[in-house]
Amino acid sequence: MKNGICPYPGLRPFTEEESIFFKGRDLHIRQIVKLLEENKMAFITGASGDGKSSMVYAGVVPYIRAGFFKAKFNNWIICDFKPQRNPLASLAESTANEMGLDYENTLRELGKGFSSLIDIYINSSHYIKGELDTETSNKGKNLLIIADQFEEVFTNSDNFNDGKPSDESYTAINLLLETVRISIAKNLPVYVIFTMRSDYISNCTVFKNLPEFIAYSQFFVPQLKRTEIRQVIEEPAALAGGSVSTRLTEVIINNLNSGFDQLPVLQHALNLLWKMAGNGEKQLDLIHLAKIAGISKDVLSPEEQKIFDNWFETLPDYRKKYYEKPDLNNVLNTHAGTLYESAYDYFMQNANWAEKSITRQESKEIIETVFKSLTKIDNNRQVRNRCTLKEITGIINKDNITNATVCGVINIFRTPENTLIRPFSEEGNLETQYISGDTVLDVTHEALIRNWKMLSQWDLEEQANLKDYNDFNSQLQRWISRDNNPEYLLTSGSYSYFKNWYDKCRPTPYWFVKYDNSKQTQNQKLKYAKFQYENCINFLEQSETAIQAKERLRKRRIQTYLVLALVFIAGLAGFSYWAMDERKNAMIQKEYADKQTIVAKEQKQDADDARAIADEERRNAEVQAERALESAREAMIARNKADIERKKALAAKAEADAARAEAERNLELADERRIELEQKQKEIEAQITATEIARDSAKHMFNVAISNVYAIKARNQAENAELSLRIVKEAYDLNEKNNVNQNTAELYDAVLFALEKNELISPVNNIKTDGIKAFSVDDQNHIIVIDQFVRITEYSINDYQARQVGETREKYATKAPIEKAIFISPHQIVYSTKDKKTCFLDLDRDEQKVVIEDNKDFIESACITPDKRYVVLAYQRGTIVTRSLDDVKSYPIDIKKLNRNMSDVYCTDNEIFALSITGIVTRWNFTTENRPMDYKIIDKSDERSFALAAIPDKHLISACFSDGSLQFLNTKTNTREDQMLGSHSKLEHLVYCQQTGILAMSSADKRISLINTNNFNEKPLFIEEHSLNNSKVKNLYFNKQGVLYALTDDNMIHYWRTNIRDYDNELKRNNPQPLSEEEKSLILGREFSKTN
Amino acid sequence: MFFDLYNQQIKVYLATGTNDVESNRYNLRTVLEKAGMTILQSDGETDENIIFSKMKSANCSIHILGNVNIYDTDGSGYKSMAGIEYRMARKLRSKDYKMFVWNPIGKIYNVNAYINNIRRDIVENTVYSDKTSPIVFVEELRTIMNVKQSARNDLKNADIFFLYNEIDADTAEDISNMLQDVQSIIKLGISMSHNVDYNDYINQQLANTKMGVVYYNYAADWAVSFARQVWKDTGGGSSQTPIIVVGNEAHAKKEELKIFDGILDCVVDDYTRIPLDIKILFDKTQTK
Repeated sequence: MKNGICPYPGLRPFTEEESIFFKGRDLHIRQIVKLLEENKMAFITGASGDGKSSMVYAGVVPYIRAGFFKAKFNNWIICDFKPQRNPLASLAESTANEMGLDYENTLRELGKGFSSLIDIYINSSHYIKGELDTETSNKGKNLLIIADQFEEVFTNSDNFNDGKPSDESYTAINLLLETVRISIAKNLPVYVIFTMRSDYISNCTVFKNLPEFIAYSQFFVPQLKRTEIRQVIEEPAALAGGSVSTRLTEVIINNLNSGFDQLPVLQHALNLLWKMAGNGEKQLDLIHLAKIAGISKDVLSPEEQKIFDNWFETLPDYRKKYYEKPDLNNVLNTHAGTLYESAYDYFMQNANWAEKSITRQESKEIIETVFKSLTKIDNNRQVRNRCTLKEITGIINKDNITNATVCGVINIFRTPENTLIRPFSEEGNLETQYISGDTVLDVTHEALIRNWKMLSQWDLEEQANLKDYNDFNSQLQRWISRDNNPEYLLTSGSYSYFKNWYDKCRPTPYWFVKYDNSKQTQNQKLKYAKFQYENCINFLEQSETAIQAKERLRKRRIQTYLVLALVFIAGLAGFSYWAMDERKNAMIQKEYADKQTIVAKEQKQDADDARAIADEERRNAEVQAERALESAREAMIARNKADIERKKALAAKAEADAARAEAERNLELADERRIELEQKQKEIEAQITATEIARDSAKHMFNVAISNVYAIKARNQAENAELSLRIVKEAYDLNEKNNVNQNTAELYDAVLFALEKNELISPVNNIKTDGIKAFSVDDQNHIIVIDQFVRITEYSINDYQARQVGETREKYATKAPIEKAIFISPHQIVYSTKDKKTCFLDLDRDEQKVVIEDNKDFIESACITPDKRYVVLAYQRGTIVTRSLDDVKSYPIDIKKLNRNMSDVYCTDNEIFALSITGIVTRWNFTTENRPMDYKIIDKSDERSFALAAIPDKHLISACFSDGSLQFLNTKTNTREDQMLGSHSKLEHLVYCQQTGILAMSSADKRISLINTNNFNEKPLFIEEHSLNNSKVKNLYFNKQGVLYALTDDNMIHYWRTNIRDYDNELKRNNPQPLSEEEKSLILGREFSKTN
Repeated sequence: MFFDLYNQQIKVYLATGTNDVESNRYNLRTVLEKAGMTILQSDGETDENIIFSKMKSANCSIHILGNVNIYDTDGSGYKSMAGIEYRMARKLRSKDYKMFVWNPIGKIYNVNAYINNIRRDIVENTVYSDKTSPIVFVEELRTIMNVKQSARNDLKNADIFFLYNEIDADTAEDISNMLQDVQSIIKLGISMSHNVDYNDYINQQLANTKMGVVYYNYAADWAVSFARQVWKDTGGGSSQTPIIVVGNEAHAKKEELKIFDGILDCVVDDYTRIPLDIKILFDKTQTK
């Protein structure tokens, strides 16, 4: 049935015609019908917007007409009315229309009250007395009276003013209640339904007996339950052949606010949804709700969002702003706001009968005034206020705006699609479009007032205007009642305030009528309003004139006061000045007099003093005069002598000047010479220093050379061990005597050689374990060894002799032999067996032997973090696993798969450095999510790396390679440092001792190199093949004292100190005899031995 | 009636929730108990078959949504027991098994895209609620589960359900007698003083017949109002049973009737021809 019928009426109530789509109230309709059947009356109350009218017109009435009501006759007369401005007249009009009677007669008849209505009915042809046959049963009609929106009896001041009902209201209610009484008493088929907003129920007490009747027949409309709202949403669409998606229903139900306006807001939204879905052609869904600004587009699927965005782009800007806060209540706001914006265009296109001399802004002002006129504040509630078109045009009161203009502008709100203002227009029906000035306009539902934000704002402004008007009017009335006495005109402040109100509100006579609650007729009210309007203007104008006059007078007074004040101030100032001046002069004169007295006294004193001095000086002068005479005589004599001497001195001076010039010349020459000598002296001193350095260096080198010669000679005394030791001792002593650095490679090798030959040092004896796989040395210098079947034996070492400590621990023994074992600390071992099980063994915690990985890969290397919390395992094929030592079997805290074969691994407390055989050091922080970084530390691609050792105190990582090179990575800068040559053959093992700074590495040519990292320029020491019993090193280890241990492939463990001075005891133990001069000359050659 | 709600025996399966809604679940459970409902839950059971049969034995299930996604929508499976139970309920939902999805945190569309996905996924027999109060939610649940059981009448299968007003009983009798020769008929005369609950009976019987006929001789005003009410109550445009109104031209004109679009047709004819008109219309509806 998708033929254009919309099953949702929108903001207006359902009509009887639309009853087929009225759903959700089935139970309530039956309850009301039952109430009517039993009580003849139903007083239906409920909140605004909960569908009372719809329930009656689209629910109860069709149900009754369909024959589901048990009544006397088959047919019905339904007289329905709204009280409007005269309930009696409205009832009469409806009764006359429905029963085919004359209105005036009916009104006159009903005006008599009590049984008048019943009398009209039972005397009409619709009521059949006596027994019924088929024909009469069909001819007779039951009577149903519906008093809809009964609250208008209270909201309209014509009906109810100052707490008193009008006569017409009282008569109408008297008629209705008496009709019910008689109907019950005589069992007549007459029924009465009232509908009224429940917030007016207390007002009903002003009508006698009405409260009792309400208590007797009240039906309070319940709020719809979820299931009923579902029916309201889904079933009308289904009846019309359309459908609503379940998800849309659920979203609407959840978003619907409970309380006021639930149903109007819902019906309005559904009406727009139906249209948005192509008049039900498509299933009503979320996207349609989003398009009417009822829900955020975020709820839509990505595809729907795209469709929505494309559609949204086509909207005009003024509409887009309504989509900022989408909500079900916002749908009505958006709809009304859109009509407000587009009313002008609609007017220009459609209202051909109106003059189009207004601007777009004026059209908006017209709409604002229309809605302000159609609403009012009643006991702080925003309610509807019916007005005629003419009244609204009068309130606007502009020459260019006629009824036709106002009608044309607001017509967009009256179309069948919009229905926000009654009466609605019909398409193609000019009469309904171009309405007369007497047509009463009304807002369709108060839900519009509460949900259209712009209208709410206008109402607030109107409320403020009304309040100001009431204040103004009280002053105006006081002025009028005092015979326009100027004393009662507005004061300056009040005038300013009310003038501002007047300019903003621009009240007109019709505006005054709107708020005139008197009992007069409209014409009388208008007449009074015009009078009031004139009064207002007069009051304002006269107030303004009076204020201006007062202002002028006030200004003149002020000017006078000012002049007088100025004169007085000037006089006062003059007198003050004169008095001050006089006083000042007197003060100055007194001060002058005082000063004069003091000066006079001082002058007298000075005069006395001067006279005394003068007497004294006069006496002195007399003495001086005598002396002066004597002196003058002596001076004459001296002067004669002085003249003679002066002449002599002048001659001597001339001689001295000549001598001085000569001396100065000589001095310059002497200075030049001195500088020359100093230069020469410096050169000589430098030559002496250089010579001394050269001599010391030569001496040092000589001593080193001698020492080395001794060392080499000692190395050659394979047959004579004693001589070898004596020569080495000689070299050692020589170095000590000459303060020569002992650690030369030649001497170190010779010392080891001589001590070995004299059996003062040797490999560790008595280690009985076969097939040692790995070893460690603990703090007590005990050697712990593990054999290939995981048997652990501990030895204490004393002077190269081993003594087993305790029994060999065999409880960890396995059948599968060990492939590789690594001591990560002296008492903690990680090993892989041939069947690829990786195990962890903690010797301090005897019970622990944990299989931590099974059949994964062989372990290549392992290390422990310095804080002893984690162990890092490097597997041959490149997996690096970090585990907590608290529970090594728990899930690893870090796993990295580097996909390259591994050589070695080293870790700090939080970082891992893994070395691949191709020479790539991979570095990452295993406590964070940092990405591993690769650093290639060798250029050659065909060399293989074997081991890695960190030199943490120097921020270096070193790695040894198959070409004998030692490569370095700076861990601070992540850059490569210069490489070193560690050996001429491949380097296989690498260890570092932080205590001594020695980096030890073993090479394939059965040699151990010792590099001092504190001075990389120093020549390395070597532990040669003879010290290793011609065996290859399998494992190297430094203990905490810097002693280097090595396991060789002949199952022997060796250890060496890395400083020659540490062998001092061994060298002196046999007290070797010093070399004789002869022996020295034989060893060194004669010249050298003499020099030495 | 509204006071019947207390006596409902509803078995609710309270699905496992994610950790963030544990307190909401606890409160809801308490409210459900106070509302007199029987509560079933997994009780730590992990065997999906056992959980499924437990869930099946309930009348409905409740699934609580929070900030943690219970439902992995990328097709790789379900992350938690909450998700597993949600999937099971989706399979179970039917006319007799309602699935309630409760989002006690409220409107958080932008925060949780997965909740939007779930909302888009809501189909029949699924109820989504974002009422924050567990009491409001349980009230809604109880109302939805309060399915009214209509009284069963003696229903018969027939071709035509012939309805008329008692005042037209004479002519209606003639017409129905004529029709009975060619079609199976059930007839019902509506009487104003009858105590039968016409509404329910007509609705159910109409669903068991192939066409409804509302006949009038005198009762023209009644006929259309009655037909409208019946059409509305039996599903309107979505109903499988068409309704026609037929009238006797001696007492009513077609154009005087307020016919509405939902009706199949309205025939006004000589009453002796009415049975034939009905037969023609009946055949027409059956050949469609």
